[in-house]
Amino acid sequence: MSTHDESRDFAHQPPNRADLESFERAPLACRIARERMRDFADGDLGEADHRLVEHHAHECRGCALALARAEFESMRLRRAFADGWSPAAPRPGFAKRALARALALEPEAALQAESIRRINGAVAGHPSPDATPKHLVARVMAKTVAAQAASRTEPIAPAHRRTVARALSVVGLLLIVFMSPIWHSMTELTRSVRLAVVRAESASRLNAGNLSGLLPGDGLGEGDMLVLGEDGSIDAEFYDASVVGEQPAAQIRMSGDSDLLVGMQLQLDHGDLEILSHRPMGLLLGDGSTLELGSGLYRIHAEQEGADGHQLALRIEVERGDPARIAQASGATRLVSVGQAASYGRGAIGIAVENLAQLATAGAASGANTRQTVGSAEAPELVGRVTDAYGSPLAHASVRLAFPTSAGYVTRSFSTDHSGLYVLPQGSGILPGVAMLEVLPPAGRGDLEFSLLDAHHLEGEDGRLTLDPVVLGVGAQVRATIETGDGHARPYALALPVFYDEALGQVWPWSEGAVYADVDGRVNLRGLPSQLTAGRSVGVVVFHPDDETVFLPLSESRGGAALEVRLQTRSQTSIAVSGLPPSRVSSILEEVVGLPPGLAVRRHLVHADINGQIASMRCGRGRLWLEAGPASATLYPISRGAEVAEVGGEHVERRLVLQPMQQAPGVAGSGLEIAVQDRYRDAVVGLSGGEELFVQSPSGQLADRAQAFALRARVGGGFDARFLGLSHLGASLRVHLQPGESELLALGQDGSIVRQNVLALRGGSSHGWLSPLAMEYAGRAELATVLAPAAEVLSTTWSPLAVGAVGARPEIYRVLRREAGFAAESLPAGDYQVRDGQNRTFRVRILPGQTSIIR
Amino acid sequence: MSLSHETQLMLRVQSGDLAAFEQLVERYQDMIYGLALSIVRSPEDAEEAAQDAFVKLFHARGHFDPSREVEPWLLRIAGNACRDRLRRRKAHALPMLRGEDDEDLAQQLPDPHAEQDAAVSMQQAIRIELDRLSERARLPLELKYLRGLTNQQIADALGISLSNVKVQLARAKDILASRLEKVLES
Repeated sequence: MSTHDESRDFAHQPPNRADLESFERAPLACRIARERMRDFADGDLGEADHRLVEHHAHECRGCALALARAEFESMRLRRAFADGWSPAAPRPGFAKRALARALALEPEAALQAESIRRINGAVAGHPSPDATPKHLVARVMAKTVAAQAASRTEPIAPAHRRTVARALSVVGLLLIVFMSPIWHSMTELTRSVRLAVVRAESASRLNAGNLSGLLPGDGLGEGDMLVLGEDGSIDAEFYDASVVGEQPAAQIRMSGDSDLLVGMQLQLDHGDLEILSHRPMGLLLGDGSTLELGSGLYRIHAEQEGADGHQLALRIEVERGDPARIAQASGATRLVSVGQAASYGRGAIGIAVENLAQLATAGAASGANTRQTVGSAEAPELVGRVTDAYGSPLAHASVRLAFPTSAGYVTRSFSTDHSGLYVLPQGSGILPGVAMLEVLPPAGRGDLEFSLLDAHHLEGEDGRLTLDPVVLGVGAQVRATIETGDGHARPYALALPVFYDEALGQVWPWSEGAVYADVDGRVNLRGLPSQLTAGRSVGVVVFHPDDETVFLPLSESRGGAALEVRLQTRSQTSIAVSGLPPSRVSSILEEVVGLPPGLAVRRHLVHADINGQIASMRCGRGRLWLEAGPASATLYPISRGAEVAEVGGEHVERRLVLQPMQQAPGVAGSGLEIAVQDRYRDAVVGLSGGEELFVQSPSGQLADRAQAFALRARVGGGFDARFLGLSHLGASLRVHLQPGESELLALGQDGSIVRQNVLALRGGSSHGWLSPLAMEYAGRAELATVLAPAAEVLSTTWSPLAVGAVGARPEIYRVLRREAGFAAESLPAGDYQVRDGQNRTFRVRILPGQTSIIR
Repeated sequence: MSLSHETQLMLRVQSGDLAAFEQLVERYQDMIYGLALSIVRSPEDAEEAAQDAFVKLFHARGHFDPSREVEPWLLRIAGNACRDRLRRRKAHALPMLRGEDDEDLAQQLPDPHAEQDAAVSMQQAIRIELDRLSERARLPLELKYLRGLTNQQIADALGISLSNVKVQLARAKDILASRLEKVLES
């Protein structure tokens, strides 16, 4: 029994040094236990010592007190570090960059790996592409350099996320994550280098011994080989793993008797490669040399030479854009500027650089150098203008423009000149259609409104395209008084203006406009857009440590006249949580109240005790999620249980018991549900009044170039899917549904699936292309392999005899490829073991009309 | 004896399997990046240092001994890579105001609490005191309580003994507790 007299309730008290000093007077058993208490609290004790301390603390109240304090100390330290902490993770694509660096210093390792791959391929029955020595020539490994270097080509939404991050650092103890990066990291995890086919002639994909024809919209991923016949040609977009959801890193054109292996390495076995690069790109050549490309148009011709077929002959031409730089492993480097060509190998000693103009003159008679380039120089240019309300030009306004080209949407940023103009020069490839535009006023003009991302029609024909001038008038002004629920002023709260687009399901926080309330709870918000298009609303998210985080909509205001509003916040409640990882700091994400689920969350960092419980945590009413792991790979929903008790006071503090959903090892039903709700929330399918289909991402990642299909139900289950075309950012795909086609389906490039009933879309569409009804997100794909009961192995790539999954709950089909679309047949009833894209396996039971996951 | 997954990956890397190297990097990148961030205190330098560590691991793969674990080896490499980077950075930096044991210097600086709101929370006080700790005291605490490394992992990364880690942690906690007492009293 205890030899120490402790009558105080210590559970909620800070550590007292005096208690710890009583250690000196303690009996031997106590001293042994106390020597180990810090390690116990930190989870560093072995099993035997752990039991010893635990057992002793049960018997000795004084040591139980000391142990509680050691745990308190440990918890306090974890929390102190955790406040203001964000998960430490390197930028996406870290592993590939590390590998590229390693191989740059040791190129023979790449050769060795390649040999292994080929041997494995041969063993697995792949036709070896280098069965004859004339193939293996150049090995090109692509990596993109710093994504930040692509500032000219950044999409618009991520910039908003960054601005929010800046605002958050002001918040201090609170960490708020908008459009949770979890979703991005989750998609990033599953992406790899790939090619998306734009145009193909006599082009095939070779994978696992199967040769299948390629159609526009098909994708080639790791391990796929692109094979062109003698008269074949292909245009494709190259995406790398480090920049997800953005425009392609480069456009690629290949022609005639060429092979290209896609994967971590882009391996050109034989032929010509034309690269229109949009951001800096490094190519690692097989002999250890590197080829660095900037933004521009480059032509690369690679072939083997020498009897053993292992010597490299390379030729690179720089037609426009940044110079290319060749750095040989020996240390020699040469810069190849626009209008120059470099030869390397084929008898050249070192790197020989020649003038392309001279070559063209010399080769004109023989018809050389007459190929059409990627991105036609005939495309018209664009001129746009930004003015104030009086028509005066605004210099130094920031313009972000996403415009259509033959190869999809491209984003550019500009700063207007002194005439308020921004100009897209010749050769940009811009086409008439719909552009997306966002304009911010010049620095120092906080009185002016800004123009939110919106669609604008490009006017004009060949020659010049124009956009209507963007007029930035005097911004709307809102004077708000922030109050607590009982009507008292809430001083020093941070008010962050937030725009919400109901149609797109997007939230745009405007961190530059965030202001702190004064001592009387008053804030003055300036520079808000004076007019908002239908379906968009503006509101304020108020941050205060004691209040729940709520999106408070503001009623519409016109420029000039200040709107006076009162914003009432609500106290957080105290809750208890169980079922958390014991003795760990965990992240609990709370969805912001007032916005649709999943758009904005607030992060609570909590420390669970050794039983995985938190006695008291303060939060609001939003849905709660447990984030497992610093990499944010998995979310588990936390369900609220019954109210257990109430404690007094004017503000009733409710104590809720939260019961997290059971975390089954591997993939549980909850895991799949999360995937459906968050990870695959990548695309919205909508129909405008004009029957134009678009696929748009509410999370800011463009679901550009998703494949769109119209579905017709089949008797007995399954459906026929008719290929409608590829989506673009903005509406551009006109839909003419045929009788019986009742649903639309979009397949994102990341494997996401979105499916929506046409009637539901039509019922709410009335505002042109940008304002369809937001749909229910109902998709999940990436079931990589299904093992039928008879151990039949089916592949899910959209090749003959594939299996996919569609629906908020898993629906698994046998998919048959057709010329334009596919047919999906239901699988026979039974239990199936399924492996998803993250290599997790789970069992699925298919019954007539019902498919479910079974534990 | 069955080999751990990481050891198997490293053996595959030894045999030239680049995909295995990528898997290995992905397995450890958060831990190594977090370690680097705590040591070099700059995201850019942390990424460079973490990359250095994996590149060194790749080039040293021929020396890998499968009877030993990968992780301690990688942590040691990473710790060295971070210190290398710090040395390079310090060589170009101005002399630092605060050294290893900067109690005296710290006392000459304005009292960080003087202008603090009386209602400053305990958590904030801890943050302030953590920032005032010397690097030698702060780093083990941060690796343990922020990055979640075990004592053994900290020992591997910092190139010190396990008992030394415990001593440093205890000392840092005592310094912190004593300073917090003063804060509470004030």
